[in-house]
Amino acid sequence: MSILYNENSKMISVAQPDEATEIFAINVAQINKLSKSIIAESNPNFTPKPNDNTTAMIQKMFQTGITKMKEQKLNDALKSISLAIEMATRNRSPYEAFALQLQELQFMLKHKIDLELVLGKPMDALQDLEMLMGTGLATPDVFIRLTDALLKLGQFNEATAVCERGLSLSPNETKLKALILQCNRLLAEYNGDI
Amino acid sequence: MSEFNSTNFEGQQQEGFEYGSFNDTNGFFNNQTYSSNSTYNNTNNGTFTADEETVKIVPTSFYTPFIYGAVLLIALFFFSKYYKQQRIKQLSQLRSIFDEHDARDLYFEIKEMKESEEVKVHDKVLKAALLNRGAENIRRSFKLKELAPQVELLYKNGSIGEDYWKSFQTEIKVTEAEVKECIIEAENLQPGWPQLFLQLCQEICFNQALQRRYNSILERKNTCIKEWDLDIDGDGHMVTKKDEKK
Repeated sequence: MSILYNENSKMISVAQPDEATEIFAINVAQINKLSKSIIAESNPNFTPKPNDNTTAMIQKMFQTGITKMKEQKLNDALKSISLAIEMATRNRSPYEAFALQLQELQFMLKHKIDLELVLGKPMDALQDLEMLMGTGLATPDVFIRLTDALLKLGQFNEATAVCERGLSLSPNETKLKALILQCNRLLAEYNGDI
Repeated sequence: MSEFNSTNFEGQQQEGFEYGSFNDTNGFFNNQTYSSNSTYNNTNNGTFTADEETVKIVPTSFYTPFIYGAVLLIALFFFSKYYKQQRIKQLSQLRSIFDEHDARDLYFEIKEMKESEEVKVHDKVLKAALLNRGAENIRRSFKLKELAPQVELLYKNGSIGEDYWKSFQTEIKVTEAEVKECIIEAENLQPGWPQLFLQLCQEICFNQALQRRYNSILERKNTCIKEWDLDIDGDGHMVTKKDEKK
């Protein structure tokens, strides 16, 4: 599998995209992103220290979202927070400290999920919650929101399973206990038991 | 001898042995002693009276032991070479646990491109490719460490075969060698860089994993919509039957 190099953009690309595997294409994209970051970096001994300018830009965008949320402009708030997340995933260099990037992403995603649930976008919220779970955040809050999103999507079986999973990790969580009762009731209604 | 026999005779008589059998034994014993004496005489005669045999001394070269040693060493060398080749052949035929190492292949392709001087490849692009290769090796070593206890347990229980166990062991060695090779390459690219290189590779490895998960959101969303047969508009709102009627 061969590649092409563009001297002007300093990017590589797959010579025959139809024949390239998904993993190969991902690797090409990863190298391009790394090249872009390293070329922009003047220090040859660059460290994983986060870029202060990028941090400031992301924080500013996120703060705008929070302000709009307080003003009850929920759609605008969601847009701003989504932009802040996009900025964090695109503009941050891949070699910047992972611990900070993870924490930042989790924090912003939590706010985004709340807004999506309030605005009636359960599918988007579900995907973001799956992302949060994938990063190792298995707190009762995440399970409550995940159950809520699944119930709104009409997936009662999945919602019950998620609720039980959450309860197995935190058995004394009152909201989860209430949600499992609701799941069972909705499932019974769906099956025509009531 | 007679005293000895008589003593035995008396003793054995008391124990109730038959005379006949004792006499036979005695006779045999005497005969044996007698004949052994005659043999002794003959031997004496033979040893000391026969002509001495001439011992031929074959002259050998001073280098003979060295030649023997050299032949042995050469034979061992060829045997070890053949054995190693066979072993490498066997190991190369084992199926790898991971997919193709695209990150490594890409690095070598970019390096080759740079060395051929057909196109002017930026130094930092090669650096990026090496970092990507290092991050992939870190990912593989983490995966192998995660898998190790389970694979060991399965192997002890007999749930996995010898081939898989060997390929797993080989994979660990290959990954270690890959990491070392990356460090050497990093040193060649920028002297004194390897210490920072490994740290950067680790950060890149984790960040790339996070990025891949983030990028998969859209695809997963479409799969969920399709599988659950949901109707969702462009804004992400659920379309209910009432909305459809409107």
